[in-house]
Amino acid sequence: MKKIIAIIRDEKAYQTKTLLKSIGVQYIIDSHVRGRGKQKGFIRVPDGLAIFRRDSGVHLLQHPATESFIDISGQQIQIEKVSVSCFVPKRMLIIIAEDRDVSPIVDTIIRLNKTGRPGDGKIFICPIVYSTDIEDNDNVP
Amino acid sequence: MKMIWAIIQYESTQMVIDALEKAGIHAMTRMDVTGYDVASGIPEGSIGYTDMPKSMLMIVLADNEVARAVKVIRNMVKASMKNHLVAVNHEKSRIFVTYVEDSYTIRTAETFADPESI
Repeated sequence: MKKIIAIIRDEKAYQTKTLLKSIGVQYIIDSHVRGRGKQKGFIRVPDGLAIFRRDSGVHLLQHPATESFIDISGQQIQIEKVSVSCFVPKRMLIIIAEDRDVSPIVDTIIRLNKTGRPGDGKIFICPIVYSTDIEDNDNVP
Repeated sequence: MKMIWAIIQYESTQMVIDALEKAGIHAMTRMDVTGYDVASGIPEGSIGYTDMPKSMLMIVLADNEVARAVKVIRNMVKASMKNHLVAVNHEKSRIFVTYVEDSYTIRTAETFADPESI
């Protein structure tokens, strides 16, 4: 058996769960996490001039010429350097599946969540040694 | 490829993250959990507080970087202990390392069997 840990966009979680249910996945653990990847949590807006930071509701715009920040209300904030310590809200789905089911599940998650922009997420596949229903009384190997 | 689950005290989370950044480890997932360790929370007379706030960091690294990351987390948690309340120090931190067989990046739909290029 395998454990599939998929870290995906927050807004795609409902669609993903619905689609996974339609291909026969019955048990999903879903939790709200925060994370970041190689891009360190920064999201470049399309004009390329500003860095959009999403961390616990704080939105900052950086202007490269002045090296200062303007927050949403229009006030100017002086910050010495850009902190990379920001985490983006993400959703973590944990699916326990048989070995033969791993490939279709991974394909489904990738097909729905792929947008081509940074922040799409990652999928990790880990081995599971043993699993049982709690109401069953069989012995642990 | 290995996955590190570090369950640390809530108060030392930011210090650990900053230390990992200095060591060049940026990609991680954090989640807020509750739990208790061998000290069974904070005993208060006949009752005990067992839902201690903790942070869990999940980091996936190549095999040769795991020891360095564990060392960074351990050193920083120990260093941040000095700033904590006495009650918080009853609770221990834990680091678990598990296997990762395969890893996919959704943006490029690539799999990385090569642990060097996570």
